[in-house]
Amino acid sequence: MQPEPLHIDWEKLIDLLERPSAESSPLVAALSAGEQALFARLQQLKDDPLLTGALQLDSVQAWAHMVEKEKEATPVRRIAYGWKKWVAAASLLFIVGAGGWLWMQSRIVRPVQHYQTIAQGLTNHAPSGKVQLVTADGNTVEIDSARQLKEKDGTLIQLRQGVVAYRNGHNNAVTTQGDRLFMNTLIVPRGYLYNLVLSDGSKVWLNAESKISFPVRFDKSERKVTIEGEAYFEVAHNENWPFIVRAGNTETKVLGTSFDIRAYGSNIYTTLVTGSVLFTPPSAGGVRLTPDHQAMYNSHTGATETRKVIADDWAVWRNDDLVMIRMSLAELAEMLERRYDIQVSFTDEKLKDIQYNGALHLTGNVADMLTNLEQTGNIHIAVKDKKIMILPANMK
Amino acid sequence: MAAAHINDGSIDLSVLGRKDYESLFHQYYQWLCLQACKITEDWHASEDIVQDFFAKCWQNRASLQIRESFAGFALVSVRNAALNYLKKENTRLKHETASYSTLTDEQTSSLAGQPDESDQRYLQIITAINNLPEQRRKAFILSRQHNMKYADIAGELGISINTVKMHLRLAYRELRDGLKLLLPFFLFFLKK
Repeated sequence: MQPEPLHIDWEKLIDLLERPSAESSPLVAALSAGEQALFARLQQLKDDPLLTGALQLDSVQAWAHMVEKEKEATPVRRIAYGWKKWVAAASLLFIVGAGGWLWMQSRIVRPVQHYQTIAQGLTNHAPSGKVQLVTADGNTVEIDSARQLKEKDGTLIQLRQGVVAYRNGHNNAVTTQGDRLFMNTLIVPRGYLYNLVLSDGSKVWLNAESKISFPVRFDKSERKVTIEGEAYFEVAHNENWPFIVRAGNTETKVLGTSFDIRAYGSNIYTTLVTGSVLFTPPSAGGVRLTPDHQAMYNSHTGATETRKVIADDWAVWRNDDLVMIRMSLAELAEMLERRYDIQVSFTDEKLKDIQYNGALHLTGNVADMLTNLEQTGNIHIAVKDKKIMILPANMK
Repeated sequence: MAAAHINDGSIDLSVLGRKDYESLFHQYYQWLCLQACKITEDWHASEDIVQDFFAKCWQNRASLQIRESFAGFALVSVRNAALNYLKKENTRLKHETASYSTLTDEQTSSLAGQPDESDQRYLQIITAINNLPEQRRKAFILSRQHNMKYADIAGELGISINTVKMHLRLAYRELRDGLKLLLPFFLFFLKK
């Protein structure tokens, strides 16, 4: 299921790309973080000298040139390129390559603690849990293949990789009926992302370490769900049927809109992308949000703050992108732990304060992602007993 | 034609026809030169190295046994040839010795021939650009030259500026979507 595309002004980016960096950088700084990240990649792609050189090569001309040289070559007389020698050389190269590698291995100073490289320590890493659905009659179903389940009241649940959809026995979208609400809970553990479509057509994206409880069929008067963790909603519009999300002790009420709720720790963030929401913290009046605004509720202090944000930056996780604005490595580590179901340890407390500003695309492979992170230069990453160790950069 | 992958299936050179061999040449030539140039920093020498590799490979196709993919095999051969070229060149010999002793695990394994993600990405990017429709590819390559304004490109190709921008937009989009963002990590500096 594709999320609604984040707003990228391609026209503007292409225009900025034409200018020299000195001229364009103040204008680039005014773009959203997502656009800035994309622009930087476009620029790197445009300016890469190796790529520029390679693209200028004419392989057609090169082939003709090679053919000419082939005709000139006299295998018997040319000592350096005699074919017998070349075959021997080819196999020798292979051995020299391997031998050279072994020699180099013995020269590298290794830390005493038997660290493994990222590639060695994380082969076959997989999240330890499974995405689960707890149905109304208490059954827990693991969701990892296309399945169809019959719900207690005859509603068919269709399960496809990443999407859960509800249909009644006649394959129509379910309507409300009767007083009993059959509740389901979808559990997304660390290491996973998940999407689902509710019975009213509303779409929900769930981040790692999140849960959503929802009725199989919504009540006539309101559509109510409860979440833990983080979820992004695209609520099907219905003016007479309010949609309410409970998170912690807060409630967010919408009529038809797109918004994100992040409720991992003591701070609960509700960010509005489109439409209008009423955010109600416990024992306080509701706060109405407009697009590109966020309500931040602190459950310790009980205070609610509203501020302007770039809403897209808070929704990029659906594309597996991570936007960091003055994010400490400690915080980044926490996010990665959750997203990949890994454990991160710092060998030096000071490393926790390294700040990151930028955008990171989270690839499916945790080893690749950590290798990319390491290439920023200020840290070295190794693996010990399946734990990710963050070391200072000069240690190898 | 799908984007080439370094680990694409192995090829039996001994039964390969000349025409198919030429296709192989065109498919990997630019990428292999890029790999050689990473080491030699000399495009002319790199082209010679890659052409020599293809020539010798063809000559010996009956007796060569390639255990892995052609691209993987070509990569190792070209890299080793490039290193040998450097040794002969003398100029960087001292540099070479010093840098060997401080190479990281990743760097040594790359010299032993295991292609890493950036090698794979370069191959995909080059292949994707070569697969673009002709005008789009030309517009893209021209736009990489620093003194080329879009108006200049438009004039050169005989199209409007808006068409140039459309081509670029589509080309970058194609590269981004197809390659799931080329460089996964990007840092920018936040203005206070």
